[in-house]
Amino acid sequence: MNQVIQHEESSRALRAVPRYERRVALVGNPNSGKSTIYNNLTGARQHVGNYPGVTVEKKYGFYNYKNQNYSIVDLPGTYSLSSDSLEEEITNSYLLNEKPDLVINIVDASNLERNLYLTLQILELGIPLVIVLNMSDVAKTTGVKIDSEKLSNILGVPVINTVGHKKVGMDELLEALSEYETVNKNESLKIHFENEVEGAIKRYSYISGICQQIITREEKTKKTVSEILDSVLTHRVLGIPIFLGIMWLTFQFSFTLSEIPMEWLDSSIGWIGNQVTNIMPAGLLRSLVVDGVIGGVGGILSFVPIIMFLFLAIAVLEDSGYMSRAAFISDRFMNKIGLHGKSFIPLLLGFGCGVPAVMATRNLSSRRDRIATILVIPLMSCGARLPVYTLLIAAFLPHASAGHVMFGLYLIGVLVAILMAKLFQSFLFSGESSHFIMELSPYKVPTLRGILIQMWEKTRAYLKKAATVLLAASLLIWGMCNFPQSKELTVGLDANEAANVRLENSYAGKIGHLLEKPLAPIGLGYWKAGVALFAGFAAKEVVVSTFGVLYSLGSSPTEESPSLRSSLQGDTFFTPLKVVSLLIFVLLYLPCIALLVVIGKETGTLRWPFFAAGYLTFLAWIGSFIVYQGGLLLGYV
Amino acid sequence: MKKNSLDRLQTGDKGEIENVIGNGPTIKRIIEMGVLPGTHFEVIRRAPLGDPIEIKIKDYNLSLRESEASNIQVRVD
Repeated sequence: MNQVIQHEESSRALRAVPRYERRVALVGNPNSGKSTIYNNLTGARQHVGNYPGVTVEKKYGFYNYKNQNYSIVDLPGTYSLSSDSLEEEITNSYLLNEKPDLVINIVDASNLERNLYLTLQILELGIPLVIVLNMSDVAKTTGVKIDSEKLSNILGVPVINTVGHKKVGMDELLEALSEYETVNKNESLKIHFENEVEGAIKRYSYISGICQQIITREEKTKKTVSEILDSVLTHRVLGIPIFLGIMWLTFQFSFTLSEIPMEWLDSSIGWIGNQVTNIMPAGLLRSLVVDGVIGGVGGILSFVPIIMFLFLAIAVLEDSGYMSRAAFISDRFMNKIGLHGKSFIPLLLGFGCGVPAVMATRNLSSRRDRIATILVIPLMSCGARLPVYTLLIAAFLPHASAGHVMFGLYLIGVLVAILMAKLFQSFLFSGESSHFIMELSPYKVPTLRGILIQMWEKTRAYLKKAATVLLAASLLIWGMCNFPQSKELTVGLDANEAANVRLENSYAGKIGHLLEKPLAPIGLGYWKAGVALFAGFAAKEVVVSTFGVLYSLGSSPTEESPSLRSSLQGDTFFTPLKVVSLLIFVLLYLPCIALLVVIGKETGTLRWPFFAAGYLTFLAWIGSFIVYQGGLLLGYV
Repeated sequence: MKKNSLDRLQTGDKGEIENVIGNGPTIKRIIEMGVLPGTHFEVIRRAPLGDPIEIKIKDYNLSLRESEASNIQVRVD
């Protein structure tokens, strides 16, 4: 076949590198074991930052070999450099603009042809390159043997054999990277084509030619472990039950394991709060420190265990390879409702906490799918709403119906989510398309180090993003609940009653009164309900502690406290119908500040968090309206 | 030897890609992933709900929706 390919023998002697830092970039397909090699090279010396203007994380690290410092950037895994997705654009632009000294191209030996596509593109750019032929152990199980020396001769670049997760070949790699100076010839491939498609076809035919010369295959009749696993896990009949089972397990695992650290955190923070309360004189400053700062920080930290374990679960699902199967199995259903197979797991995570759920939408490659999923995640009733449901249901609804009502609430959330996803597809995103071209790479046993690093990095990212805003918001809400002070009104009242009166006369209380008119049609025209809902903006659990203050019990009762329950029951305002209306409102209305901040950071704009807050609150009002007015028509009060 | 499009095939069918119709980002993506004229393929399975389809090409497994596979003309052995 006639190839219109020229090899330009540009003798590009790598400039003599003095003792400054060598800048290296890691490039490769997803699932090629790139992260493992990156971890092997940098160890603990890893950092995460941001590429300017985009929400993709920039992973960079350092190592030192033979007295030479190296900095490595782990570019996002991509299949090609032509800008199809954000990851590819970033990799391409980094290689062109930042001009690293050297590129390490991780190539999956068990899957060579497709991997070499990216290699060719890098060679076309003329950047010095070292090929790492990784996962040779997997290649062996499929009967594939590669002549790496010949590959090196044909392409004119060093080829190192490695088995990343066994750390085999790392010394040779380090040596090759430091020795690169001595290779003074660099072939710059030039392939001529009219358009991208023609280019792709030409590249693959060149690759085909190469592979014929370097790959020898053994006929393998035995199925690989991965193939056997898939025949069960994506089985026509068994596939779905197994899938649901695994999802349920993931959830249980995260929740159960996070309970212990959460309880420990809660009691520690409570203890610190008590100590400060004892030490400081009563007054505004103490309240600021204890309720505002410690309460606020405590609120942020109390999210952390569940978030950490959900991230851990995601890392295991991703690294093992099951994540892609989950998308494969659920895509038909997800697509029908206007989402994508990869949306399933983020939505599931939303039942735990919306923050890791929204961050998990990163694995959706199309922006349209990502935003559509993000907009619907808040409708998955997160764990923080549970105490509110528990309190209200236990106080007002018949004991036997508690389970049914709870289930009903979650079900309504899911149904509304499906409805909204479909509406968004028709009205918000019409005309934008996405695809499901996805690799199903072989299953792998996750490395402990790999999953822990991912869990830690993502938790840190959450803390960085949310902590400052959450603290500011907590202080703001504290301020609104404590000013104006109205000292005159509280003369002669005990501490709890005083707190109640102060709350009613504060800015928050005024907002509660202001909200009476708008909340009246849904049966909640009562300043206490308004204040509690407003406080829920900070975090849903705050609704419970706010009720505590509103009923003069201080702010520490929980949803289990019989005193809070009976106080609520004693308030003649609340009837079962109004409580149901309140439940629907809490189910649907705007997500907490932490989630809105994360939505803003992940979408890179303020538009979507505002839109989410707006449409959800509107939806909540409509939902409660229907329930309340419908109930009135049916004769309830 | 039959001419056909990928979405109409059954599990176990093997053959060669003849043509990829259309242009646009999805088609470009399909080709860059190695689905192009002359490539051998095998249909491994359909997802439990019937869609997407999983095929084996160039030593790896790729999944794609029926709607995307309908653009791919194949010749079945």
